[in-house]
Amino acid sequence: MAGQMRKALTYKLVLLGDAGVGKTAIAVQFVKGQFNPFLESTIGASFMNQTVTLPDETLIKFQIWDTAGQERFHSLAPMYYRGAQAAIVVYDITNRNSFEKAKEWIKELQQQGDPNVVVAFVGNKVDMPEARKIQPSEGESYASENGLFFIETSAKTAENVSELFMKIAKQLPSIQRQKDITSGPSNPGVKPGVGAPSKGKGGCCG
Amino acid sequence: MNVRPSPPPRSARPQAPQYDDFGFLIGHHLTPTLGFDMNSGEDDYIRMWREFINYDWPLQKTATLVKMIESGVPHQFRGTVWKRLAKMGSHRKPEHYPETYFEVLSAVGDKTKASQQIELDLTRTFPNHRMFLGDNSYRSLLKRVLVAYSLHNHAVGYCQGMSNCAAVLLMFFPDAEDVFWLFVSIIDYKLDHHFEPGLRGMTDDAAIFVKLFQKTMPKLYKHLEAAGIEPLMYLTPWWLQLFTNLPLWSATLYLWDLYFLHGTTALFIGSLSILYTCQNLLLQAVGMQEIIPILLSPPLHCIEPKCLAAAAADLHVYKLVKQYRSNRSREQEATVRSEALTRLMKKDAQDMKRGRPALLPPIVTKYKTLRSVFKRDSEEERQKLERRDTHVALEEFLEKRLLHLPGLQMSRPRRTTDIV
Repeated sequence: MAGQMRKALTYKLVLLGDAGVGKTAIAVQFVKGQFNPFLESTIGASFMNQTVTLPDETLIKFQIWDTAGQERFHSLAPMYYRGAQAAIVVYDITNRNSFEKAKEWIKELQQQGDPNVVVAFVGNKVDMPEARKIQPSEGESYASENGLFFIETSAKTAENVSELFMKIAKQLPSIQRQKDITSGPSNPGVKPGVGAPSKGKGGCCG
Repeated sequence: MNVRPSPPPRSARPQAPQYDDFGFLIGHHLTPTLGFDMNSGEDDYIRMWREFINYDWPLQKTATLVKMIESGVPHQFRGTVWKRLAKMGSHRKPEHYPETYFEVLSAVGDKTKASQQIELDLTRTFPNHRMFLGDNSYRSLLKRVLVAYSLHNHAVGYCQGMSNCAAVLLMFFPDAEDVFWLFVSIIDYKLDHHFEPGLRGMTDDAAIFVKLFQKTMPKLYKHLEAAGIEPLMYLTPWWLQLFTNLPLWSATLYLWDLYFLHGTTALFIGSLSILYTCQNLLLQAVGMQEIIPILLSPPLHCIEPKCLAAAAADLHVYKLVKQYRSNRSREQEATVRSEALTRLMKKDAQDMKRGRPALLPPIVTKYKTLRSVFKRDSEEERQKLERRDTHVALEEFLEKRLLHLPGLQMSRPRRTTDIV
């Protein structure tokens, strides 16, 4: 009975970042709770669903687009981040280039993305401290300058992975929750269409 | 007191990994049958194929061959059939390349930008296949093929997805140089524009796909559109790794058979067939979160080769694709040519002002309205060129010069009478 009464909210989330930084590994760790060393390269993008429960019992359903990292797939990225309410921009703490690339993604999101998008700036692979090239302070200060939230994770050990998604879920705008109450709870799959006015032809359902 | 008398349960003991018929770790690709379920006639069917292959060399794309391939290539003949369809006989290297071409290119190793990305993808290419598990020597062969190709076709370099395509070939042909030339034959002039930076070939073909999809399955098209799903969301994973992401390996191989037979037309046939066989499921699915998983990992029973073949036949998809694509490519070619000619004429005008010799032959510059001649649909303009000799001279000119101009390489050589 609790299941019926709960509010369920669906949000589109996109993972961006350079190739090989661990975008897919983070998503798989979050969705399946495991680290798979045999992951294949992501071509185009892959898609996953996962739900988290907030302390107030609200269900947050994430539709996760995990995008390909190679530069030439860049032109496809707007298709995935358009209308997304959350974005996770990932770099590899052992790779300086990936950090620079992550900053470019942030710039692009600020210019082209949804103005209300919640952005997480994530340094992955903290399980390899001996190879670290980017200090936490560097990521932290970039994030705070740009109004993002910062976290370091390890998809391998699961460190901070569920915290990352939980933190995003808590930051998702409450105006959308109000909207959901008015439209009724029994509407799974229908996204609250707030804050996504700039779409050409329906980037969201309903 | 820590001693446990009983041995560990059987399942906990380390076991040798088990592979399916195609070399994948059991459970990764569910492959109940090799090729088609031919029931009682299987032996006859295989015998027929054997005779056919012995007799017909190289394989000509006859109606019989098309029918036989669509009915399923027995797995043991696949390598042979692919090679012959790619017109690769005993001489694997096209004559105009130097003898050591592959050796030299593949020896470049880690020095290029493409090789960094290649290196990154080597461990992520079919990591559950016995040939590519661990530090297997096949990985180094794969690397040589990809590095060589990235140098052979500079404009394309290396694009993610290519490693899967080359790996499939390695599963059939153990020699890296063989695989390289076969890879060249299936990518160059076909898929290279799909892979090049900007992925223009793919987006162009996706635009044609949309028209075909709308025409053949209007209800499903609207359903997906209403859910906010853009075709590139599933076409990119399907096309850029040539359907190697499908969960049923026999389906992947069947679509590869079609690719060797029909070239990129097979991309359309495969995509429309998958949508068709999953149509009912997709129509029942609500929203992106239910629809996309079906598209990216269709249920196995929907994509069995015989279902895909039946779908293609139902949709008359081959004929349709041919029709749409040829219209489109004629249009594109005419535009490209007319743009190039305009550029040339401008350059000539500038050069003549500066006293330099004109590049265009006098007969071409004489006709100021020539540009419109290249638009196939403008019949009126064409009639203005009444004199036959102008026409002939123009054709000769086009053959000699225009085809070799930068910007025109994308149009494949074709008889100019088709265009003018």
